Amino acid sequence: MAAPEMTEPARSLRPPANQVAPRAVWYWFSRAAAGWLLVIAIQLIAWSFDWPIPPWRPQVFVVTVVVAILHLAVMPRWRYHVHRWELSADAVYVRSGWWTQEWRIAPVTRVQTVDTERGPIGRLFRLSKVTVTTASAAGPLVIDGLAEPVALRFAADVTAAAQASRGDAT
Amino acid sequence: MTGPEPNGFDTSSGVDAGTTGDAAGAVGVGAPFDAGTSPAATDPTRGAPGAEQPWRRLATGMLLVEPARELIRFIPMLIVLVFAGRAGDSGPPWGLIGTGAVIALGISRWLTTRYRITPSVVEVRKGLLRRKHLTVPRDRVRTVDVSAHPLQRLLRLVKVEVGTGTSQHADELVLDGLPAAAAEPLRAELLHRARVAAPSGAGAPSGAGPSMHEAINGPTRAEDGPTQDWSPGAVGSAGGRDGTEETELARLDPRWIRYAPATLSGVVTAAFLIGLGWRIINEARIDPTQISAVHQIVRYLQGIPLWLDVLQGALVVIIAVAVLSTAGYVLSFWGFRLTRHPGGTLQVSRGLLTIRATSIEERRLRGVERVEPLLLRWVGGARLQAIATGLHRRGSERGGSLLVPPAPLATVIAVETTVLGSADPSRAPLTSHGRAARRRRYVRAPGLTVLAIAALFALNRFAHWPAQLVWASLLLLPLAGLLARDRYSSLGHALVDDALISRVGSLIRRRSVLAVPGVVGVTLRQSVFQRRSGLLSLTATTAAGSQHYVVPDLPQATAIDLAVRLVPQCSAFLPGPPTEGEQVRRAEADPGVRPARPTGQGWLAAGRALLRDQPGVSRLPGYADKG
Repeated sequence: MAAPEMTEPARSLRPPANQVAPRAVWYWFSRAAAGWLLVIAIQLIAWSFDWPIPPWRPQVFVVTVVVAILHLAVMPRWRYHVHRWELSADAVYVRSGWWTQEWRIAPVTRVQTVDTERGPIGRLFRLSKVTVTTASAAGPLVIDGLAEPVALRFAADVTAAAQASRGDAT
Repeated sequence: MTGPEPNGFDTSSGVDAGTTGDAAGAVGVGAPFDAGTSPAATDPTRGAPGAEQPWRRLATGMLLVEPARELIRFIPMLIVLVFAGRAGDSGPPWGLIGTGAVIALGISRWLTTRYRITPSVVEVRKGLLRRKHLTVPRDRVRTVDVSAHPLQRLLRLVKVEVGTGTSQHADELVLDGLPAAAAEPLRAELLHRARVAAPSGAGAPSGAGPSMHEAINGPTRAEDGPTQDWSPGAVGSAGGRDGTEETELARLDPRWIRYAPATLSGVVTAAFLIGLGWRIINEARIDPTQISAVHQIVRYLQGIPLWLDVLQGALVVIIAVAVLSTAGYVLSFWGFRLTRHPGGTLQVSRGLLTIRATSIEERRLRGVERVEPLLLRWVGGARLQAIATGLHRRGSERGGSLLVPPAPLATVIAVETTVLGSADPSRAPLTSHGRAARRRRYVRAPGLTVLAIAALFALNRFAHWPAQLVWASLLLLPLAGLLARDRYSSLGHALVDDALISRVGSLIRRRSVLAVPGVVGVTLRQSVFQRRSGLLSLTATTAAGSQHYVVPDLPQATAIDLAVRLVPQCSAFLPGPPTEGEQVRRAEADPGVRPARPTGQGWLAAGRALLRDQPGVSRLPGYADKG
């Protein structure tokens, strides 16, 4: 599935320049799979202990499995095509999501912190998640699935850019 | 005071913002910035200038307050005992022990709490076992709220809360039990002298960051007065330091109380009272059916047809809610006054029994939000809230950001105009979002209703829910249609006077005016459905108010255009010469590329508030070590 472009109107944003690491597809796949396995496991346990939950338990189980398969088949690659990022001279630009897409732009002057973190699954794939926060609690820009060296360099670059912009802001 | 002091300082502001995520939203004080300057900031206070300032104690009267409150707390219990006809059976007198503990705590609080205000910092020392020493640089003081409940008023005491704009330690700098006479001067002193004091020498190191804004803002204010004033403008610097000459922007007109029932605030009170009644009944082990009044009412209701029951019940509920709403309105807003102080603050004071004076620094003001719940809108009323940095959470909880209580729309608009310094944002016609957005409104509200009805139908078929529910829910369909219509007619936006105006919602319609320099980023969102209809939702993120303001379902081109106008840096991402394969730019490698700001000269004027919004910028140096 190609990255859905916005074409109709006269003006649109172009996609950010860089993609995340291709193995992020498998990273997202594993993460989602872990979640689905948990859901399925709970159902199986409920089944085996014969908890009196709903009478239509088998149907629920089948639906869960089908949805899980669809989600796992579609989501990671779709997300990979959507998720892009860019650091321009004066702004950070991230596109993310899959079903619902988000374009987030924050001027470098408004950047407050850059956090790099790796969860357990991320560590497995040697991928980092970079969070760029602004003064607004509502607007962190998150790039998930960056190769570690890229993430570190990106963090350093945003930091440097922000410091430079501070120089000319005061 | 030497040992723990730097710690005290760091926890009171540094750690806050350091925890990023939500705390970064807390805005006011930057972590790395603090980390960088805190030793410098605290040093001078330990040294020369602070030395002469005596440590002050809370008023002795506060010793009476807590025991008295405890006594009052006993009253419901006494009533219950009388009603239930059984005195406390046996066991240790926990109540008495509790009271004793409370009194002891009060005494220890009085003994251990001391505060002082030096030219550069506010210091509080408190705690018996865990001594705390809190130091806040004066120029970090954002809000000084004064409140007093009836008991305190009787004893002429007040509670003073000093806010630094961070949310986490908001409750730390609280002086509960100051003499009322001392509070007002303290407030004026803290808020209005902060800026005058900082550049004037003594606090030079601590003033390094913010006083720099002052240095910049001083002249800027004078220059760009005409463009717009999101802040007190020239008045601030010219008006001097004592907040005595204040101008009144609004005051409660008793006729406003007629809007009270439309606020429905009584619903909450009613729920609370029902809960309380339930608890009393439970604790006293009263069987409600044994009370003759209840018994009679039940008998009466059983004797008449169902529809009359419903009608009467509804009537009783409506009257109760109206009465409670009115009572609530009078209790919270009686004596409401909104004033502007020459020192650059707006002050809201209000309350019948518990009085409360809240201040909002105008330089932290990023706009206003007019809130019109459906009922209130029908009777021609609205209320007004401030969009300011450093007030959220705590502010919204406590109504701290309230500017005007439910009042006639004309009054609200007039206040808006005065506060914003221009009539345009509040009267500007809004651009509606077009056919696709309307279609979406009509798909969503009725669509969801249809789903709900289908679910009820299914429950009726398979789980034997009553069929009446399905029929009754059909009534919702026309309502959903009306809702969709109103939601569309509410929907609109405009960019006027360097402010983003967005109006959204129906049941609670909000019309926000947000200063463009206060916007710290934009987010465009598009679901698959929205993509099909060529719509985008734009979110302007900001450090103020609710942190983000949404303009939903804009036509795509309009949304992009708006984004560029809110954050000019977006223009780099418009389709143009292909920048495929562009790698991360090493900013330090090409400092020359770092541009003159997009608007060049006009930047100073346009970005005045941006400079004031300095936290985002000033806290950067410290975070290098995070990377």
